[in-house]
Amino acid sequence: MNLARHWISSELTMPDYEQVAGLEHFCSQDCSPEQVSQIYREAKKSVEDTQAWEPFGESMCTFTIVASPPRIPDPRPSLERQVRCAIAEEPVEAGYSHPAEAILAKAVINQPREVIEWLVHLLTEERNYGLVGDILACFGRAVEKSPPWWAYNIAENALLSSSVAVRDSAAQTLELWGTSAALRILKKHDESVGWLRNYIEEVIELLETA
Amino acid sequence: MPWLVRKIAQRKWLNPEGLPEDAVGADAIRGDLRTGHNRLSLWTCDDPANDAQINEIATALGTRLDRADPIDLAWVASEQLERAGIELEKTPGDTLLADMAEHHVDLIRVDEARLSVVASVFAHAIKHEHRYKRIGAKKLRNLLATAVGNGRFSLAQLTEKQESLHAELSKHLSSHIPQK
Repeated sequence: MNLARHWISSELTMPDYEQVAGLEHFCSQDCSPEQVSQIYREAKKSVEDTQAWEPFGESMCTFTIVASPPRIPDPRPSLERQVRCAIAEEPVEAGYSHPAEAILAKAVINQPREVIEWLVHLLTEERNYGLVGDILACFGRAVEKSPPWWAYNIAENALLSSSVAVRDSAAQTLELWGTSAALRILKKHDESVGWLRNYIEEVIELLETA
Repeated sequence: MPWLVRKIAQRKWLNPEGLPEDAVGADAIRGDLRTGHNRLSLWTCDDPANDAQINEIATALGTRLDRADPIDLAWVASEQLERAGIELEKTPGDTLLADMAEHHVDLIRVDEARLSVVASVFAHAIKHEHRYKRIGAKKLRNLLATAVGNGRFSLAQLTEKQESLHAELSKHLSSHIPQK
């Protein structure tokens, strides 16, 4: 199994954090070194060609790169520990606020890059899917009022998870956000589990009539 | 009271993580059948397959939530539990809907063996009889806002902990005219 890890931002000329972050953090998956090179070339060309990024543009949806190593000391263990402890102490339950939401809300403002890296890492590496679903739910609530564009990328990737728990959490998060971007992602998703498919269809219908 | 309704998380019952689909996961029992003082709180309903009735339960429950998230409800026949020797006691439900408080029971003297029976009955109802329903976040907000609009409870009754729900409903009410 080849897990592609590639650091590209240092070679890119675009200084804007979010534009670069979009490349670094979009998603990750197994791929060959040749695929990584191809993705890298596409990414670089895209940045050079495009002065203003389209956050949900098709080109971004095909990138398969995970940032490594980080440019600053990685505070992930601290953020991760805080969130994991909060969830271990109190289960995440529908309808009830959770202390992890405040931790994540603060982190999204103060260390967005680390939040993105950590969430991508969770989606690709963590095998405790129930925990991933819970963290995703808390993250979704933490940014509910104004989800940053990269949050949609996280949710979209979560919908591709092999775990129903993670996909369910992503679908619920997208309903919560209730935006046109959320609707677009839900419409693109092809769900295999019946009850979750029914739920997604209901949400799509509601969001389309909103 | 032929049916007993409980808030659950569908995925824990239908797709227990890391377990065969026919297993009852510990998370389902620990998370969704959490007891207090060896009691388990359940709502009662004549016909939960009827949307209006299950929506009433969702609304009653919703008045005590912190936030309007999607909620999953599942139901079992009360006689199934009674047949297994589980005792029911009529108790007022924790809700701001005065007319719904009476639609509530506690299973009492719940020990490990009885809880296991309750879990099996719920698992069977959910997996094999499709006795569950998800109320989406938007739908729940609509139901709660309609209840406020109809004077069944007021936003002023919400607690400080329900600040998020208060804000969501205030926003919803200012942009919608609730249906009578």
